Amino acid sequence: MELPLLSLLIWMPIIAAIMILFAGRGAGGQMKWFALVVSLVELVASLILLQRALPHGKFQFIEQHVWIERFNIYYALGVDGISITLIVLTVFMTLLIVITSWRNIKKQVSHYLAAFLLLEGLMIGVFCALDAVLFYVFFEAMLIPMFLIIGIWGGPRRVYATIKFFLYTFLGSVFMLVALLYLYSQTNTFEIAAMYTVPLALNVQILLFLAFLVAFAVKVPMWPVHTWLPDAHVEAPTGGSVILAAIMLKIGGYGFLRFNLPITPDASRSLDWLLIALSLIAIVYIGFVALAQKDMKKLIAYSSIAHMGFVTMGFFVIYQITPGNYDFQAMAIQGGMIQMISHGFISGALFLCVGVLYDRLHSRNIEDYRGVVNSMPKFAALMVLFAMANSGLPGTSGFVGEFMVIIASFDASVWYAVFAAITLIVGAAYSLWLVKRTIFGETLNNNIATLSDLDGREFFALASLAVLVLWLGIWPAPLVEFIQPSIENVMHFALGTKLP
Amino acid sequence: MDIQSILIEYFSRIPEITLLLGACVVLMAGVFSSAQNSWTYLLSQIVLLLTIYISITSATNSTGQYFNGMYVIDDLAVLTKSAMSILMFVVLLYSRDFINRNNFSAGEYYSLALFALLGMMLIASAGHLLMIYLGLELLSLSLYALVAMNRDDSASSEAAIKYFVLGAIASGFLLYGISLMYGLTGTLYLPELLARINDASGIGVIAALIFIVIGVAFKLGAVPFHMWMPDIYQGAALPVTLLVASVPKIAGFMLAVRLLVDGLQNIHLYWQQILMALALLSLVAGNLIAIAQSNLRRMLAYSTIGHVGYILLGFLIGDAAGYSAALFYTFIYALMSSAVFGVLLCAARMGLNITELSDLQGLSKTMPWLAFLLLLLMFSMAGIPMTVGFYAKLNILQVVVANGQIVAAVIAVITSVIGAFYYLRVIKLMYFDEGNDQVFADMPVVHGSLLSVHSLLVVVLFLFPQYLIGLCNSVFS
Repeated sequence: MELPLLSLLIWMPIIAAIMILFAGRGAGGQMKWFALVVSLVELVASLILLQRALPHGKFQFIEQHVWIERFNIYYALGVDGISITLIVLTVFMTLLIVITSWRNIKKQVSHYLAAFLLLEGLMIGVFCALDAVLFYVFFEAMLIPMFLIIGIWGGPRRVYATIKFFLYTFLGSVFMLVALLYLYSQTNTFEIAAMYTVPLALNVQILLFLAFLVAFAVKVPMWPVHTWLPDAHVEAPTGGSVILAAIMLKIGGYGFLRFNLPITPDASRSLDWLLIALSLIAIVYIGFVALAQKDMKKLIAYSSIAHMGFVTMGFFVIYQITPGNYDFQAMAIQGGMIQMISHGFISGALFLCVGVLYDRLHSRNIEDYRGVVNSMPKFAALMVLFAMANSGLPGTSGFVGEFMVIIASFDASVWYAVFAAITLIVGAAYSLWLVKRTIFGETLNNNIATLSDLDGREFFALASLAVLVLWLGIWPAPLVEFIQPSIENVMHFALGTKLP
Repeated sequence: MDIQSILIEYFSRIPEITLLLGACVVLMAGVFSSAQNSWTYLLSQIVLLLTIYISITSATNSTGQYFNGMYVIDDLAVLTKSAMSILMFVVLLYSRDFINRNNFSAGEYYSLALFALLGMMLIASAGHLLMIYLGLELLSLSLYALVAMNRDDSASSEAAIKYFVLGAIASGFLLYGISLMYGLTGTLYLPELLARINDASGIGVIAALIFIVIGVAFKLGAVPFHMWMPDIYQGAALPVTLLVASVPKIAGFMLAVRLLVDGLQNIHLYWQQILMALALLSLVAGNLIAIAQSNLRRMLAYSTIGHVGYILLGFLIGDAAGYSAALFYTFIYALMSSAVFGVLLCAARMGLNITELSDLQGLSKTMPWLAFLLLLLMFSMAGIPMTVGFYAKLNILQVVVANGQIVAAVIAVITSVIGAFYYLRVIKLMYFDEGNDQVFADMPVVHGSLLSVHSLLVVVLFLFPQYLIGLCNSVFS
């Protein structure tokens, strides 16, 4: 019998988290090591997954068991190239969180790590689920640990931020639940693949599309439902911000690829203008908003929204590209996908950088810092690299995805490309200005002068992210080739029609 | 057949007989024993165990009609009666310590609880409209007395008076509706009623139907007939609130099933419309008003009203799938609600009386395990996955959507987002706020472990829902 690798990936951290919770507060020290071991094993398991994956776009490692017979709900798991990549990202970022939280969390550190392990398992579940109810279950359950992480370990306005976060995402996802139930009434199964082929009239598709849109647009987040994100980021502890930016936002993009595009292709085609417009607003307007921020975390949060605009732009611009120009269409989705991975690394790294500064001086205000480079040269070098990557410097991963999306959207309309390319300027402006104000210049005061540079753990986390950012920027071909068949599979449904 | 074997047969098939005799014995024992004596408690629990046993075993060989069709044992009755008596066992177990410490007259409390259960079981097994009415009155009168038991407390007395007056009006409505039905059809037997009422074109049937639905809505606590509920929840003594908030919900469900489904299924298109309005009003009003409450028990009362809205949504579809979804929801609701009050009773026993929401502040520090259980229950009530509350809502929504009532489904999910807010506020108070570092007594062993199992059931049933869903489904097919 083959090892149920996906179930293992999902349930191992969840069970570990429960064990840590029950171990009690006294055993904090051992529990840290336990969490580290679990996340390392997860990493190994995800790499095995990556290595064993076959190069076709179909779902693999399939596990299927009846869960609730009455409603045809299955415990059905499976992955394709898109999900495997995101799973590896999840596992890797969680490992970094465990490493960097080692000393920096003072309050109930074992519970903190347990919450992240729980979150890890649930997020992997989202990426693996092939049954709509199972997907929804993981999608919703994910809110619980994040709610607690922000609420317990967050900043002064954590209660407001975490309840806002929870209610926004919950409100979005309940509409998706109704949409899924409607699809069930049409297909009599919750299997997502069956929903890809059921014929649907255009007006029905549009309603379904909007229901899914609300769920995933809140998650991505897209303008104008983005306002929970800056609050959540600012109040969340470092680890919470990292997971939120690096993975949770990606679940919105993943949802578009799994639900909107294949299930409602005709509605996507007729509403592409809406999504493109919202994406461009996010890219341009939110970019300027980021420029005006005084709080480092808020700045990065807004920059996240702007960067995620490229993801949705890439996914929906395919309908405006000259029909038949298959390579450009594939490139647009590829670009969005690579942007998701790259943004996961970069925003995660930037939040870690802010966390490093915050741990030392307990301030996130830009004006409280100047001349950090003088006392923290290693940190400064890495932070400048990530800021450059954030602004889309060629040679870093930030460039690849944005470039692909912009090239592809040239075919749709020059204006799309022009507006989207504005981000390269605005992004450079806010990223570099942030660096200029915090890292460079005269040392502001004695506190800054006596800062200690990165310790081993912090250096390991940031350096490994730097390697990945550069690797993906210089040689993205392996990733592109790995996800290409899966993207073509999505396109097969997205470019088809389901009208009866 | 001689009299002896007939008696044995009735005893072994009809749990109500044992329960009735047991309740009388407990009543007598209460008179002759002091308030703190645990005899009455033990006797009641033994009676309940016997009742549970007979209820469950009656599934195999006792289904059928008894006493000229006044009394019916079918799968649905067996399931709900077993559930009610098991739940009552748990309720008495949670209540015991509170009763002892607060000088309640134990004998009266336990015997009234048993009589209330008897009334509920009669409703569940009724085959005749008068039987339903008798069961309902037995239940209501026992509950009035229970609510009034804490007679030196003005809130309690106020609650009892309100409950009594409004309950009497509701019974009046119901009885009037029943009498109209009798006038129109000449029968009070439910199967005959079903056969004789095929359309509601006449004004008489409509009027009778409206009276009956109002009576049911009163007992269930649907808006706008919900006014008594917050006062009872707040004013009654904690064990009484626990009792009112748990077992009678299943009885309310059975009341609706017996009257509307068994008797008036053929005109379901008419009562559906009324129930639709009641359901949506309850969902919206219950959840919105709950936000404004500062008293935990009042908040729970309004949340109950919201849950009743969901249960009614299951009814208004008018098919077996809808009824079984509503039954599942009722079971889950009764499970969660009794666990929440079990937590409050456990906290009271450990030295913390939780009445206002602010009393929950910092509970995660002072009573971490109880706070964790309450967290699970709150997520379950909000319907968040990894708890069984999610399935309860999913089942209802599934039948609602399958019947094309998309707008009702959308309203329902939006209200559950509104509802999530006040459940989250409870979690916020326990986990995010700082409280004072009081030290409380240890968790009582029996109460605590039963409560833990009880509360963790919301997660266990989420992972393995198959059995319970299958049960609820099979009794209606």
